[in-house]
Amino acid sequence: MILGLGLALLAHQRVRGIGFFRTVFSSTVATSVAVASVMWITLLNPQIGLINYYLGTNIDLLTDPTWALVAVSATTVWLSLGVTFIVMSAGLQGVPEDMLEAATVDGAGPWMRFRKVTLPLLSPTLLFSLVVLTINAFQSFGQIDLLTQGGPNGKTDVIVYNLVQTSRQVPGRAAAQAVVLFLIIFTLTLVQLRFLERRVHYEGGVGG
Amino acid sequence: MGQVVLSGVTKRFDGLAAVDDLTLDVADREFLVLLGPSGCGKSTALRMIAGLEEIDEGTIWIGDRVVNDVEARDRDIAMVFQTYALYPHMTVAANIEFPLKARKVAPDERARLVTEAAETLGLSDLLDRRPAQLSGGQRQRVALARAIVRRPAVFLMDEPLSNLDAKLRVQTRAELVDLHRRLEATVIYVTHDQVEAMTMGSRIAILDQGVLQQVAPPQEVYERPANLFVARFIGNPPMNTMAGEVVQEGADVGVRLRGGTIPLPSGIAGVVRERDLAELIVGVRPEHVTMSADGFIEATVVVVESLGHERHVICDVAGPPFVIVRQSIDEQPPAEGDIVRLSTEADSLHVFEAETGERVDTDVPSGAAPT
Repeated sequence: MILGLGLALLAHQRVRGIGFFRTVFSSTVATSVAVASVMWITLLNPQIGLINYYLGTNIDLLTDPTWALVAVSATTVWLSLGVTFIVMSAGLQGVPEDMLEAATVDGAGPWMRFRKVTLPLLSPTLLFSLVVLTINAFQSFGQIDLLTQGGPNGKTDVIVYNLVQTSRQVPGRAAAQAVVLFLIIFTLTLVQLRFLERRVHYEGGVGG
Repeated sequence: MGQVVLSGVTKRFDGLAAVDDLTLDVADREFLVLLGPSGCGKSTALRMIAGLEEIDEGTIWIGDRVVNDVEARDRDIAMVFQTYALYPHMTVAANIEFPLKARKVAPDERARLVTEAAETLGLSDLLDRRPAQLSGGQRQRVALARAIVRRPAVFLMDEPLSNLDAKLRVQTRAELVDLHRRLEATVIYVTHDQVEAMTMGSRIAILDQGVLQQVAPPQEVYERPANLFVARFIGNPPMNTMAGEVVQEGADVGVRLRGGTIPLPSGIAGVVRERDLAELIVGVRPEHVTMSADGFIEATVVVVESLGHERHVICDVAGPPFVIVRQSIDEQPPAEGDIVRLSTEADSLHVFEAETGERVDTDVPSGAAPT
Protein backbone atom coordinates (compact mmCIF):
# COMPACT_ATOMS: atom_id res chain seq x y z
CA MET A 1 0.00 0.00 0.00
CA ILE A 2 2.81 2.34 0.89
CA LEU A 3 4.59 1.42 -2.33
CA GLY A 4 1.43 2.08 -4.29
CA LEU A 5 1.06 5.50 -2.68
CA GLY A 6 4.72 6.26 -3.29
CA LEU A 7 4.45 5.42 -6.95
CA ALA A 8 1.21 7.37 -7.24
CA LEU A 9 2.91 10.40 -5.71
CA LEU A 10 5.76 10.00 -8.17
CA ALA A 11 3.41 9.68 -11.08
CA HIS A 12 1.38 12.68 -9.93
CA GLN A 13 4.11 15.05 -11.04
CA ARG A 14 3.82 16.95 -14.25
CA VAL A 15 6.85 15.63 -16.07
CA ARG A 16 7.41 14.91 -19.72
CA GLY A 17 6.65 11.31 -20.55
CA ILE A 18 4.72 10.73 -17.35
CA GLY A 19 2.09 8.78 -19.30
CA PHE A 20 4.66 6.08 -19.97
CA PHE A 21 5.47 5.63 -16.29
CA ARG A 22 1.81 5.67 -15.33
CA THR A 23 1.26 2.83 -17.77
CA VAL A 24 4.22 0.89 -16.40
CA PHE A 25 3.17 1.37 -12.80
CA SER A 26 -0.35 0.23 -13.39
CA SER A 27 0.58 -2.59 -15.74
CA THR A 28 0.50 -5.28 -13.05
CA VAL A 29 -3.28 -4.95 -13.11
CA ALA A 30 -3.25 -6.50 -16.51
CA THR A 31 -0.96 -9.33 -15.51
CA SER A 32 -2.54 -12.65 -14.58
CA VAL A 33 -1.44 -14.49 -11.45
CA ALA A 34 0.04 -17.25 -13.56
CA VAL A 35 2.15 -14.95 -15.69
CA ALA A 36 3.35 -13.04 -12.66
CA SER A 37 4.24 -16.22 -10.82
CA VAL A 38 6.27 -17.61 -13.70
CA MET A 39 8.03 -14.26 -13.95
CA TRP A 40 8.85 -14.26 -10.26
CA ILE A 41 10.02 -17.90 -10.36
CA THR A 42 12.59 -16.73 -12.90
CA LEU A 43 13.50 -13.61 -10.93
CA LEU A 44 13.90 -15.60 -7.73
CA ASN A 45 15.86 -18.42 -9.31
CA PRO A 46 19.21 -18.95 -7.53
CA GLN A 47 21.22 -19.44 -10.73
CA ILE A 48 19.67 -17.13 -13.34
CA GLY A 49 17.44 -14.90 -11.19
CA LEU A 50 18.13 -11.18 -11.15
CA ILE A 51 17.33 -10.87 -7.46
CA ASN A 52 20.09 -13.18 -6.37
CA TYR A 53 22.34 -11.55 -8.91
CA TYR A 54 21.83 -8.10 -7.43
CA LEU A 55 21.97 -9.32 -3.85
CA GLY A 56 25.14 -11.19 -4.67
CA THR A 57 23.70 -14.29 -3.06
CA ASN A 58 22.90 -17.78 -4.20
CA ILE A 59 19.84 -18.72 -2.18
CA ASP A 60 16.85 -20.54 -3.58
CA LEU A 61 14.43 -18.09 -2.10
CA LEU A 62 11.41 -20.26 -2.80
CA THR A 63 12.62 -23.35 -0.98
CA ASP A 64 14.54 -21.67 1.81
CA PRO A 65 12.39 -21.90 4.95
CA THR A 66 13.28 -18.37 6.07
CA TRP A 67 12.75 -16.66 2.74
CA ALA A 68 9.93 -18.55 1.07
CA LEU A 69 7.13 -16.62 2.76
CA VAL A 70 8.91 -13.31 2.11
CA ALA A 71 9.35 -14.21 -1.54
CA VAL A 72 5.71 -15.16 -1.90
CA SER A 73 4.67 -11.95 -0.13
CA ALA A 74 6.82 -9.90 -2.46
CA THR A 75 5.07 -11.48 -5.42
CA THR A 76 1.69 -10.73 -3.85
CA VAL A 77 2.68 -7.12 -3.18
CA TRP A 78 3.84 -6.78 -6.75
CA LEU A 79 0.56 -8.22 -8.00
CA SER A 80 -1.57 -5.75 -6.04
CA LEU A 81 0.69 -2.81 -6.80
CA GLY A 82 -1.11 -1.91 -10.00
CA VAL A 83 -4.54 -1.68 -8.45
CA THR A 84 -3.19 0.16 -5.43
CA PHE A 85 -1.39 2.58 -7.71
CA ILE A 86 -4.53 3.31 -9.68
CA VAL A 87 -6.66 3.75 -6.56
CA MET A 88 -4.06 6.04 -4.96
CA SER A 89 -3.70 8.07 -8.14
CA ALA A 90 -7.45 8.55 -8.23
CA GLY A 91 -7.31 9.62 -4.59
CA LEU A 92 -4.57 12.14 -5.30
CA GLN A 93 -6.61 13.65 -8.11
CA GLY A 94 -9.19 14.40 -5.47
CA VAL A 95 -6.82 16.58 -3.45
CA PRO A 96 -7.51 20.12 -4.68
CA GLU A 97 -4.50 21.84 -6.18
CA ASP A 98 -5.27 25.19 -4.58
CA MET A 99 -5.35 23.63 -1.13
CA LEU A 100 -1.76 22.51 -1.61
CA GLU A 101 -0.89 25.92 -3.00
CA ALA A 102 -2.52 27.59 -0.02
CA ALA A 103 -0.35 25.43 2.22
CA THR A 104 2.72 26.41 0.19
CA VAL A 105 2.03 30.11 0.60
CA ASP A 106 1.18 29.50 4.26
CA GLY A 107 4.75 28.32 4.63
CA ALA A 108 4.43 24.54 4.69
CA GLY A 109 7.27 22.56 3.16
CA PRO A 110 6.69 19.44 1.03
CA TRP A 111 6.67 17.07 4.00
CA MET A 112 4.23 19.17 6.03
CA ARG A 113 2.00 19.59 2.98
CA PHE A 114 1.95 15.83 2.53
CA ARG A 115 1.34 15.02 6.18
CA LYS A 116 -1.14 17.78 7.00
CA VAL A 117 -3.04 18.18 3.77
CA THR A 118 -2.58 15.32 1.30
CA LEU A 119 -2.67 12.45 3.77
CA PRO A 120 -5.83 13.52 5.64
CA LEU A 121 -7.64 14.16 2.37
CA LEU A 122 -6.48 10.80 1.11
CA SER A 123 -7.56 8.93 4.22
CA PRO A 124 -10.81 7.50 2.78
CA THR A 125 -8.79 6.07 -0.11
CA LEU A 126 -6.19 4.68 2.29
CA LEU A 127 -8.84 2.95 4.40
CA PHE A 128 -10.45 1.50 1.32
CA SER A 129 -7.24 0.01 -0.01
CA LEU A 130 -6.20 -1.26 3.40
CA VAL A 131 -9.43 -3.23 3.73
CA VAL A 132 -9.37 -4.54 0.17
CA LEU A 133 -5.69 -5.46 0.26
CA THR A 134 -6.06 -7.28 3.57
CA ILE A 135 -8.91 -9.34 2.20
CA ASN A 136 -6.90 -10.07 -0.94
CA ALA A 137 -3.87 -11.15 1.07
CA PHE A 138 -5.98 -13.63 3.01
CA GLN A 139 -7.35 -15.05 -0.17
CA SER A 140 -4.10 -15.46 -2.08
CA PHE A 141 -3.89 -18.83 -3.70
CA GLY A 142 -2.63 -18.77 -7.28
CA GLN A 143 0.85 -17.49 -6.57
CA ILE A 144 1.33 -20.01 -3.69
CA ASP A 145 0.22 -22.88 -5.84
CA LEU A 146 2.57 -21.92 -8.63
CA LEU A 147 5.58 -20.78 -6.62
CA THR A 148 5.89 -23.09 -3.62
CA GLN A 149 2.92 -25.43 -3.28
CA GLY A 150 2.84 -24.51 0.36
CA GLY A 151 6.41 -25.60 0.96
CA PRO A 152 9.05 -25.70 2.29
CA ASN A 153 7.75 -27.59 5.32
CA GLY A 154 4.42 -25.83 5.12
CA LYS A 155 6.04 -22.44 5.59
CA THR A 156 3.88 -20.92 2.89
CA ASP A 157 0.87 -23.13 3.50
CA VAL A 158 -1.47 -20.15 3.87
CA ILE A 159 -5.11 -20.59 4.70
CA VAL A 160 -6.73 -20.67 1.27
CA TYR A 161 -4.03 -22.92 -0.14
CA ASN A 162 -4.40 -25.25 2.82
CA LEU A 163 -8.15 -25.15 2.38
CA VAL A 164 -7.96 -26.24 -1.23
CA GLN A 165 -5.58 -29.07 -0.38
CA THR A 166 -7.81 -30.23 2.47
CA SER A 167 -10.92 -30.11 0.30
CA ARG A 168 -9.45 -32.84 -1.89
CA GLN A 169 -9.20 -35.22 1.09
CA VAL A 170 -11.62 -34.03 3.77
CA PRO A 171 -14.25 -31.80 2.15
CA GLY A 172 -16.13 -31.27 5.40
CA ARG A 173 -13.08 -29.90 7.14
CA ALA A 174 -12.38 -27.59 4.22
CA ALA A 175 -15.91 -26.27 4.45
CA ALA A 176 -15.36 -25.54 8.12
CA GLN A 177 -12.07 -23.79 7.24
CA ALA A 178 -13.90 -21.67 4.71
CA VAL A 179 -16.39 -20.55 7.35
CA VAL A 180 -13.57 -19.78 9.75
CA LEU A 181 -11.74 -17.81 7.02
CA PHE A 182 -14.89 -15.86 6.34
CA LEU A 183 -15.25 -15.07 10.03
CA ILE A 184 -11.62 -14.01 10.33
CA ILE A 185 -11.83 -11.66 7.35
CA PHE A 186 -15.20 -10.37 8.49
CA THR A 187 -13.96 -9.64 12.00
CA LEU A 188 -10.73 -8.09 10.82
CA THR A 189 -12.54 -5.84 8.37
CA LEU A 190 -14.96 -4.79 11.08
CA VAL A 191 -12.08 -4.01 13.42
CA GLN A 192 -10.32 -2.00 10.74
CA LEU A 193 -13.42 -0.02 9.91
CA ARG A 194 -14.32 0.52 13.55
CA PHE A 195 -10.90 1.75 14.61
CA LEU A 196 -9.76 3.57 11.55
CA GLU A 197 -12.93 5.16 10.29
CA ARG A 198 -12.83 7.64 13.13
CA ARG A 199 -9.52 8.89 11.85
CA VAL A 200 -10.72 9.20 8.30
CA HIS A 201 -11.89 12.50 6.96
CA TYR A 202 -14.76 12.35 4.50
CA GLU A 203 -15.29 15.50 2.44
CA GLY A 204 -18.02 17.64 3.92
CA GLY A 205 -18.47 15.23 6.81
CA VAL A 206 -18.89 16.28 10.41
CA GLY A 207 -16.69 13.55 11.87
CA GLY A 208 -13.01 13.03 11.27
CA MET B 1 7.94 47.42 3.50
CA GLY B 2 5.22 46.23 1.23
CA GLN B 3 5.88 47.71 -2.16
CA VAL B 4 5.79 45.33 -5.08
CA VAL B 5 7.50 46.05 -8.36
CA LEU B 6 7.21 44.01 -11.52
CA SER B 7 9.61 44.78 -14.31
CA GLY B 8 9.23 43.24 -17.75
CA VAL B 9 7.66 40.12 -16.26
CA THR B 10 6.73 37.49 -18.81
CA LYS B 11 5.22 34.05 -18.42
CA ARG B 12 4.71 31.65 -21.28
CA PHE B 13 2.64 28.51 -21.40
CA ASP B 14 3.54 26.29 -24.36
CA GLY B 15 5.19 29.25 -26.06
CA LEU B 16 2.15 31.50 -25.65
CA ALA B 17 2.61 34.52 -23.43
CA ALA B 18 0.06 34.47 -20.63
CA VAL B 19 1.65 37.57 -19.16
CA ASP B 20 3.63 39.67 -21.60
CA ASP B 21 6.28 42.14 -20.48
CA LEU B 22 4.31 43.35 -17.47
CA THR B 23 5.75 46.35 -15.69
CA LEU B 24 3.87 47.50 -12.64
CA ASP B 25 4.70 49.50 -9.57
CA VAL B 26 2.57 48.84 -6.50
CA ALA B 27 3.17 51.28 -3.68
CA ASP B 28 3.36 50.27 -0.04
CA ARG B 29 -0.14 50.07 1.50
CA GLU B 30 -1.80 50.51 -1.84
CA PHE B 31 -4.94 48.61 -2.85
CA LEU B 32 -4.19 47.70 -6.45
CA VAL B 33 -6.77 45.84 -8.49
CA LEU B 34 -5.73 43.66 -11.41
CA LEU B 35 -8.74 43.70 -13.69
CA GLY B 36 -9.44 41.93 -16.94
CA PRO B 37 -11.61 39.34 -18.65
CA SER B 38 -11.01 35.69 -17.87
CA GLY B 39 -7.82 34.40 -19.41
CA CYS B 40 -6.19 37.83 -19.54
CA GLY B 41 -3.28 36.71 -17.36
CA LYS B 42 -4.23 38.54 -14.17
CA SER B 43 -4.27 35.38 -12.06
CA THR B 44 -1.00 34.22 -13.57
CA ALA B 45 0.54 37.58 -12.68
CA LEU B 46 -0.69 37.19 -9.11
CA ARG B 47 0.60 33.64 -8.90
CA MET B 48 4.03 34.79 -10.03
CA ILE B 49 4.07 37.37 -7.26
CA ALA B 50 3.01 34.64 -4.85
CA GLY B 51 5.76 32.34 -6.01
CA LEU B 52 3.40 29.63 -7.24
CA GLU B 53 4.43 30.17 -10.83
CA GLU B 54 7.93 30.47 -12.23
CA ILE B 55 8.87 33.72 -13.94
CA ASP B 56 10.15 33.24 -17.49
CA GLU B 57 11.50 36.75 -17.94
CA GLY B 58 11.72 39.92 -15.91
CA THR B 59 12.11 40.70 -12.26
CA ILE B 60 9.77 40.92 -9.28
CA TRP B 61 10.67 42.90 -6.18
CA ILE B 62 8.79 42.61 -2.91
CA GLY B 63 9.97 45.21 -0.44
CA ASP B 64 13.54 45.88 -1.50
CA ARG B 65 14.41 42.36 -2.49
CA VAL B 66 14.30 40.52 -5.76
CA VAL B 67 12.11 37.49 -5.16
CA ASN B 68 12.45 35.64 -8.46
CA ASP B 69 14.24 32.78 -6.74
CA VAL B 70 12.70 33.17 -3.29
CA GLU B 71 10.32 30.41 -2.19
CA ALA B 72 6.67 31.33 -1.72
CA ARG B 73 6.94 30.79 2.03
CA ASP B 74 9.77 33.31 2.36
CA ARG B 75 8.18 36.13 0.39
CA ASP B 76 6.28 37.71 3.29
CA ILE B 77 2.96 37.40 1.46
CA ALA B 78 -0.38 35.79 2.16
CA MET B 79 -2.88 34.72 -0.41
CA VAL B 80 -6.65 34.36 -0.39
CA PHE B 81 -7.94 31.94 -2.99
CA GLN B 82 -11.14 32.08 -4.97
CA THR B 83 -12.21 28.73 -3.52
CA TYR B 84 -10.83 29.81 -0.11
CA ALA B 85 -8.85 26.54 -0.07
CA LEU B 86 -9.62 25.94 3.59
CA TYR B 87 -8.35 22.66 4.98
CA PRO B 88 -11.59 20.67 5.35
CA HIS B 89 -10.25 18.28 7.98
CA MET B 90 -9.22 21.06 10.35
CA THR B 91 -11.29 23.28 12.59
CA VAL B 92 -11.50 27.01 11.96
CA ALA B 93 -8.93 27.57 14.71
CA ALA B 94 -6.55 25.01 13.19
CA ASN B 95 -6.99 26.55 9.76
CA ILE B 96 -6.05 29.99 11.04
CA GLU B 97 -3.19 28.53 13.06
CA PHE B 98 -1.72 26.57 10.16
CA PRO B 99 0.56 29.30 8.74
CA LEU B 100 1.92 29.96 12.24
CA LYS B 101 2.56 26.27 12.82
CA ALA B 102 4.29 26.04 9.47
CA ARG B 103 6.57 28.85 10.62
CA LYS B 104 7.17 27.24 13.99
CA VAL B 105 5.72 30.06 16.06
CA ALA B 106 5.62 29.21 19.78
CA PRO B 107 2.28 27.68 20.96
CA ASP B 108 1.16 30.45 23.34
CA GLU B 109 2.04 33.09 20.76
CA ARG B 110 0.06 31.09 18.21
CA ALA B 111 -2.99 30.98 20.45
CA ARG B 112 -2.81 34.72 21.01
CA LEU B 113 -2.53 35.53 17.30
CA VAL B 114 -5.34 33.16 16.36
CA THR B 115 -7.64 34.75 18.92
CA GLU B 116 -6.72 38.18 17.64
CA ALA B 117 -7.28 37.32 13.97
CA ALA B 118 -10.58 35.60 14.79
CA GLU B 119 -11.73 38.68 16.68
CA THR B 120 -10.79 40.98 13.82
CA LEU B 121 -13.02 39.01 11.49
CA GLY B 122 -15.79 38.15 13.95
CA LEU B 123 -15.06 34.43 14.01
CA SER B 124 -14.57 33.99 17.74
CA ASP B 125 -17.70 31.85 18.17
CA LEU B 126 -16.88 29.59 15.25
CA LEU B 127 -13.37 28.45 16.16
CA ASP B 128 -14.35 24.83 16.82
CA ARG B 129 -16.38 24.41 13.65
CA ARG B 130 -15.18 22.79 10.49
CA PRO B 131 -15.32 24.54 7.11
CA ALA B 132 -18.18 22.28 5.97
CA GLN B 133 -20.34 23.66 8.79
CA LEU B 134 -19.87 27.28 7.76
CA SER B 135 -21.72 29.51 5.31
CA GLY B 136 -19.94 30.91 2.26
CA GLY B 137 -19.40 34.28 3.91
CA GLN B 138 -17.99 32.69 7.05
CA ARG B 139 -15.60 30.52 5.04
CA GLN B 140 -14.44 33.59 3.21
CA ARG B 141 -13.70 35.27 6.53
CA VAL B 142 -11.78 32.23 7.73
CA ALA B 143 -9.66 32.43 4.58
CA LEU B 144 -9.01 36.11 5.36
CA ALA B 145 -8.19 35.33 8.97
CA ARG B 146 -5.70 32.71 7.85
CA ALA B 147 -4.10 35.36 5.65
CA ILE B 148 -3.91 38.15 8.22
CA VAL B 149 -2.81 36.00 11.15
CA ARG B 150 0.88 36.30 10.43
CA ARG B 151 0.78 39.94 9.38
CA PRO B 152 2.43 39.77 5.99
CA ALA B 153 3.50 42.89 4.15
CA VAL B 154 1.52 42.00 1.04
CA PHE B 155 -1.87 40.36 0.60
CA LEU B 156 -2.68 38.68 -2.66
CA MET B 157 -6.34 38.03 -3.35
CA ASP B 158 -7.57 35.99 -6.26
CA GLU B 159 -11.24 36.78 -6.86
CA PRO B 160 -12.09 36.28 -3.20
CA LEU B 161 -15.69 37.46 -3.58
CA SER B 162 -16.76 35.58 -6.67
CA ASN B 163 -18.17 32.62 -4.73
CA LEU B 164 -20.43 34.80 -2.61
CA ASP B 165 -23.99 35.72 -3.48
CA ALA B 166 -24.62 39.23 -4.77
CA LYS B 167 -25.92 40.69 -1.53
CA LEU B 168 -23.08 39.35 0.58
CA ARG B 169 -20.58 40.54 -2.00
CA VAL B 170 -21.59 44.18 -1.58
CA GLN B 171 -21.19 43.92 2.17
CA THR B 172 -17.91 42.02 2.04
CA ARG B 173 -16.52 44.55 -0.40
CA ALA B 174 -16.89 47.28 2.16
CA GLU B 175 -15.48 45.02 4.89
CA LEU B 176 -12.40 44.29 2.79
CA VAL B 177 -11.77 47.98 2.19
CA ASP B 178 -12.12 48.59 5.90
CA LEU B 179 -9.81 45.67 6.70
CA HIS B 180 -7.22 47.02 4.29
CA ARG B 181 -7.31 50.36 6.09
CA ARG B 182 -6.88 48.73 9.49
CA LEU B 183 -4.09 46.38 8.45
CA GLU B 184 -2.06 49.06 6.70
CA ALA B 185 -0.77 46.47 4.26
CA THR B 186 -0.42 46.29 0.51
CA VAL B 187 -3.22 44.46 -1.27
CA ILE B 188 -3.07 43.14 -4.80
CA TYR B 189 -6.54 42.07 -5.75
CA VAL B 190 -7.48 40.12 -8.87
CA THR B 191 -10.99 40.34 -10.25
CA HIS B 192 -12.96 40.31 -13.47
CA ASP B 193 -15.70 42.36 -11.84
CA GLN B 194 -15.39 46.03 -12.76
CA VAL B 195 -17.66 47.08 -9.91
CA GLU B 196 -15.26 45.52 -7.41
CA ALA B 197 -12.37 47.19 -9.17
CA MET B 198 -14.02 50.61 -9.26
CA THR B 199 -15.20 50.53 -5.65
CA MET B 200 -12.18 48.98 -3.94
CA GLY B 201 -9.05 49.87 -5.81
CA SER B 202 -6.90 52.90 -5.18
CA ARG B 203 -5.63 52.13 -8.67
CA ILE B 204 -6.75 49.68 -11.32
CA ALA B 205 -4.42 47.83 -13.65
CA ILE B 206 -6.28 46.50 -16.66
CA LEU B 207 -4.91 43.52 -18.54
CA ASP B 208 -5.95 42.01 -21.81
CA GLN B 209 -4.31 38.95 -23.33
CA GLY B 210 -1.40 39.27 -20.97
CA VAL B 211 -0.69 42.88 -21.89
CA LEU B 212 -1.14 45.78 -19.52
CA GLN B 213 -3.60 48.28 -20.98
CA GLN B 214 -3.76 51.02 -18.39
CA VAL B 215 -2.92 51.69 -14.75
CA ALA B 216 -4.79 54.56 -13.17
CA PRO B 217 -7.17 55.47 -10.38
CA PRO B 218 -10.72 54.21 -11.01
CA GLN B 219 -12.15 57.59 -11.95
CA GLU B 220 -9.44 58.25 -14.48
CA VAL B 221 -9.87 54.81 -16.03
CA TYR B 222 -13.53 55.63 -16.45
CA GLU B 223 -13.11 59.15 -17.71
CA ARG B 224 -10.02 58.74 -19.85
CA PRO B 225 -9.70 55.14 -20.99
CA ALA B 226 -6.28 54.72 -22.62
CA ASN B 227 -7.60 52.63 -25.46
CA LEU B 228 -10.64 51.04 -26.98
CA PHE B 229 -10.33 47.88 -24.90
CA VAL B 230 -10.44 49.75 -21.61
CA ALA B 231 -13.24 51.98 -22.91
CA ARG B 232 -15.41 49.00 -23.77
CA PHE B 233 -14.47 46.95 -20.72
CA ILE B 234 -15.17 49.56 -18.06
CA GLY B 235 -18.69 50.82 -17.63
CA ASN B 236 -22.07 49.20 -17.48
CA PRO B 237 -23.90 49.50 -19.79
CA PRO B 238 -20.77 49.65 -21.91
CA MET B 239 -19.59 52.68 -23.83
CA ASN B 240 -21.17 53.17 -27.26
CA THR B 241 -18.52 53.01 -29.93
CA MET B 242 -18.77 53.52 -33.64
CA ALA B 243 -16.23 53.65 -36.45
CA GLY B 244 -16.18 56.42 -39.02
CA GLU B 245 -14.16 58.43 -41.49
CA VAL B 246 -12.62 61.78 -40.76
CA VAL B 247 -14.21 64.56 -42.77
CA GLN B 248 -12.87 68.11 -42.99
CA GLU B 249 -14.88 71.17 -43.83
CA GLY B 250 -12.67 74.17 -43.66
CA ALA B 251 -11.41 74.44 -40.10
CA ASP B 252 -13.95 71.95 -38.77
CA VAL B 253 -13.09 68.32 -38.40
CA GLY B 254 -15.81 65.73 -37.93
CA VAL B 255 -16.31 62.00 -38.08
CA ARG B 256 -18.87 60.61 -40.50
CA LEU B 257 -20.73 57.81 -38.79
CA ARG B 258 -23.69 55.79 -39.86
CA GLY B 259 -26.67 58.05 -39.40
CA GLY B 260 -24.82 61.37 -39.39
CA THR B 261 -21.62 63.32 -38.84
CA ILE B 262 -20.34 64.27 -35.42
CA PRO B 263 -17.99 67.25 -34.99
CA LEU B 264 -14.78 66.82 -33.00
CA PRO B 265 -13.76 69.29 -30.30
CA SER B 266 -11.06 71.63 -31.55
CA GLY B 267 -8.21 70.21 -29.44
CA ILE B 268 -8.68 66.68 -30.71
CA ALA B 269 -9.39 67.98 -34.20
CA GLY B 270 -5.94 69.58 -34.14
CA VAL B 271 -4.28 66.31 -33.18
CA VAL B 272 -6.22 64.43 -35.84
CA ARG B 273 -5.17 66.92 -38.49
CA GLU B 274 -1.59 66.97 -37.33
CA ARG B 275 -1.29 63.19 -37.38
CA ASP B 276 -3.32 62.92 -40.56
CA LEU B 277 -5.66 60.28 -39.19
CA ALA B 278 -8.31 59.05 -41.60
CA GLU B 279 -10.25 56.42 -39.64
CA LEU B 280 -11.41 56.95 -36.08
CA ILE B 281 -13.60 55.22 -33.55
CA VAL B 282 -15.66 57.51 -31.41
CA GLY B 283 -17.12 56.47 -28.09
CA VAL B 284 -19.72 58.02 -25.85
CA ARG B 285 -20.86 56.67 -22.50
CA PRO B 286 -24.61 55.92 -22.39
CA GLU B 287 -25.19 58.61 -19.77
CA HIS B 288 -23.68 61.22 -22.07
CA VAL B 289 -25.93 60.53 -25.03
CA THR B 290 -28.96 62.78 -25.16
CA MET B 291 -31.98 62.77 -27.39
CA SER B 292 -32.64 66.17 -28.89
CA ALA B 293 -34.19 67.61 -32.02
CA ASP B 294 -30.86 69.01 -33.23
CA GLY B 295 -28.88 65.80 -32.65
CA PHE B 296 -26.15 64.69 -35.05
CA ILE B 297 -27.31 61.17 -35.63
CA GLU B 298 -30.63 59.72 -36.59
CA ALA B 299 -31.69 56.52 -34.85
CA THR B 300 -34.71 54.29 -34.32
CA VAL B 301 -35.75 53.30 -30.81
CA VAL B 302 -35.72 49.51 -30.53
CA VAL B 303 -36.38 48.79 -26.87
CA VAL B 304 -36.91 50.89 -23.76
CA GLU B 305 -35.70 49.12 -20.61
CA SER B 306 -36.69 50.48 -17.25
CA LEU B 307 -34.46 49.55 -14.30
CA GLY B 308 -36.47 51.41 -11.69
CA HIS B 309 -33.91 54.11 -10.97
CA GLU B 310 -32.97 54.74 -14.60
CA ARG B 311 -33.95 53.86 -18.11
CA HIS B 312 -31.95 52.42 -21.02
CA VAL B 313 -33.14 53.39 -24.45
CA ILE B 314 -31.65 51.06 -27.03
CA CYS B 315 -31.44 52.59 -30.48
CA ASP B 316 -30.67 51.22 -33.90
CA VAL B 317 -28.34 53.40 -35.95
CA ALA B 318 -28.66 51.73 -39.34
CA GLY B 319 -27.08 48.47 -38.24
CA PRO B 320 -25.26 46.92 -35.29
CA PRO B 321 -24.12 47.62 -32.67
CA PHE B 322 -27.03 49.32 -31.00
CA VAL B 323 -26.48 52.62 -29.24
CA ILE B 324 -27.57 52.69 -25.63
CA VAL B 325 -28.88 55.90 -24.12
CA ARG B 326 -29.09 56.14 -20.37
CA GLN B 327 -32.00 58.27 -19.36
CA SER B 328 -33.16 59.56 -16.01
CA ILE B 329 -36.47 58.16 -14.87
CA ASP B 330 -37.94 61.68 -14.74
CA GLU B 331 -37.46 62.22 -18.46
CA GLN B 332 -40.19 61.48 -20.95
CA PRO B 333 -39.42 58.07 -22.50
CA PRO B 334 -39.66 57.69 -26.28
CA ALA B 335 -41.95 55.04 -27.71
CA GLU B 336 -40.48 51.96 -29.33
CA GLY B 337 -40.21 52.56 -33.08
CA ASP B 338 -39.79 56.34 -32.70
CA ILE B 339 -37.22 58.09 -34.86
CA VAL B 340 -34.95 60.18 -32.58
CA ARG B 341 -31.84 62.31 -33.04
CA LEU B 342 -28.90 61.63 -30.76
CA SER B 343 -26.49 64.22 -29.48
CA THR B 344 -23.65 64.59 -27.00
CA GLU B 345 -21.43 67.23 -25.47
CA ALA B 346 -18.11 67.63 -27.24
CA ASP B 347 -16.08 66.94 -24.10
CA SER B 348 -17.93 63.65 -23.48
CA LEU B 349 -16.51 62.29 -26.67
CA HIS B 350 -13.80 59.62 -26.52
CA VAL B 351 -11.80 59.34 -29.71
CA PHE B 352 -9.61 56.36 -30.63
CA GLU B 353 -7.43 55.55 -33.60
CA ALA B 354 -9.20 52.91 -35.67
CA GLU B 355 -5.96 51.13 -36.48
CA THR B 356 -4.39 50.82 -33.03
CA GLY B 357 -7.33 51.46 -30.73
CA GLU B 358 -5.21 54.01 -28.84
CA ARG B 359 -6.85 57.08 -27.39
CA VAL B 360 -6.43 60.29 -29.34
CA ASP B 361 -5.97 62.98 -26.77
CA THR B 362 -4.58 66.45 -26.45
CA ASP B 363 -2.60 65.81 -23.30
CA VAL B 364 -1.58 62.62 -21.56
CA PRO B 365 -2.41 62.58 -17.84
CA SER B 366 0.52 61.87 -15.56
CA GLY B 367 -0.67 58.62 -14.04
CA ALA B 368 -1.42 56.92 -17.32
CA ALA B 369 1.78 56.92 -19.30
CA PRO B 370 1.01 54.73 -22.30
CA THR B 371 3.51 52.01 -23.08
